[in-house]
Amino acid sequence: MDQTPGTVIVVTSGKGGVGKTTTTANIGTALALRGNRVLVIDTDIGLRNLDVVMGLENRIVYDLVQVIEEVCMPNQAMIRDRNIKSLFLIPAAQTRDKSAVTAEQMQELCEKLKPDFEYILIDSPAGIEQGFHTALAPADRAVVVATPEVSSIRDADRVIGLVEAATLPTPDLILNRVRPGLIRHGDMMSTEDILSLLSVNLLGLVPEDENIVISTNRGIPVVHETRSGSGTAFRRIAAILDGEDLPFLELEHNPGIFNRLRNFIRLGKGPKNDA
Amino acid sequence: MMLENLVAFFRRSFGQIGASGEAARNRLQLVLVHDRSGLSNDNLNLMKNDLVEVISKYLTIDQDSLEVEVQRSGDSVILVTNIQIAGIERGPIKTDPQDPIDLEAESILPVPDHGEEDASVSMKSPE
Repeated sequence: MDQTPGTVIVVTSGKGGVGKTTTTANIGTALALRGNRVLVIDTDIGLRNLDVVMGLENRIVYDLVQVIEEVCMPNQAMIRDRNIKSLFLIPAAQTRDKSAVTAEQMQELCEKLKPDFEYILIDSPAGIEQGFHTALAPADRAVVVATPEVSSIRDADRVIGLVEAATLPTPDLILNRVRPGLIRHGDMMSTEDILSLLSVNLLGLVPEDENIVISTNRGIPVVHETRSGSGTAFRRIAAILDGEDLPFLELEHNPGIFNRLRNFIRLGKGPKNDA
Repeated sequence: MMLENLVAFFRRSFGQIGASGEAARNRLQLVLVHDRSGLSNDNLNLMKNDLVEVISKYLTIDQDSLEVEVQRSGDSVILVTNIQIAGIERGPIKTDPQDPIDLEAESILPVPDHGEEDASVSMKSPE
C-alpha cells in the first residue's frame, strides 16, 4: 500500500439541495473505480443520506459519532461498497446533532486515517454553522458544488470566502444541474458569468440528468452508468482531481424535436438573424 | 393555455424575450458586492454618524442627504458617499442654503463613472 498520506477533500455548498451528497458519492465512487483507496465520510449528523445514495443503508452497524466517542474502532464503522472493494463509507449518526463531533476531533480522525487511503472525501452538511466548520477542519482542499441559480451562487460565494478564511486554497467549483438548452436561450447564467462572479476555477460541469433520480432510487451511483451525461461528467471530475490533465469540455445540448424545429426556422431566416 | 405556451415558445425562439440569465448575473453582481463588503446595517449607521461628525467639523452639511454606497469598479469595490453641503463656514463664498452645492466625497480615487450604473448597491439607512 502507498504510504504517502492521502488527500482530504471536503465537498460543500452552503445552500442545501444542490447535490453535495450525490457529488460526494459519485466522485468517491469514480476515484475508487480508478483504482484508488477511497473513504467517504458523511458529516451531516442527524440528516444522514450518503448511505442511501450509495445503497449501503442496510449495512450500518456503527457511525461517525461512535468512532469519535471511541465506542468502536474507525475500521469497524467503515462499510465496504457493494461493488468496489477499495471504497468505504463512514456514515453519520442519525439520532444525534452536529454538536456531537468537534472540528478538532474530526481533524484528529482524518490524520489517523490518511495513511490508509489515497482520498478521504467529506460530505459537508448544508449551512455555515458548526457542522460546516467540523467538515472543513481536516480538509486539504475544498470543492464547492453550486447550481446555476442566484441563491446557490450567492451562498457559494459566502462559502468560498469562509474556505479562504480557513487558509485553505481557493476551492474549485462544480456546477451541477446545468441545462445547456436554457443557457443557449439566455435563461440560465453561463459558466463564464458564474466563474467571473465567483473568481474561482471550474472543476467540471454536470448536466441536469434524470439518470440521477433513477440511480439514487436504486442506490447505485450514476458513475456506474457509462452512457449517462452526469456519470460521464463525474468520472471526468474524478480524473481531474486524480491528477489527469484533461481539456475543458463544454456540455453538449441534445436538441429535442422542438429545438430542431427552431433551428430549422432560424436557418430559414438567414443571416439577418445573426446581425 | 396551449396557445400561451405556443406564443411563449415562438417569442423565445426569435429571441424577443429570455434574457433572464443576464438579469440573474446583474442582480448577483450587486448582491455579492454587498455581501463581500461585510458591512452590517448597524455598522453602516455608525459609520454614517461618524462621517457626519467628522465632516461637520469643517462644513455645514445637510445630514439627511447623506448617502453611502458600495460600488463595483472593475475588479475593485469602492465606497462612495454623497453629501450635500448646506453652507461653508468662514468661507468667502456666499451660499444660499436653499440651493446647496453638491459635494462628492470618495474614499478611493479615481472617481468612478456615475453614469455607469453597472454595479452599485444603495445602502441608504431606513428613514
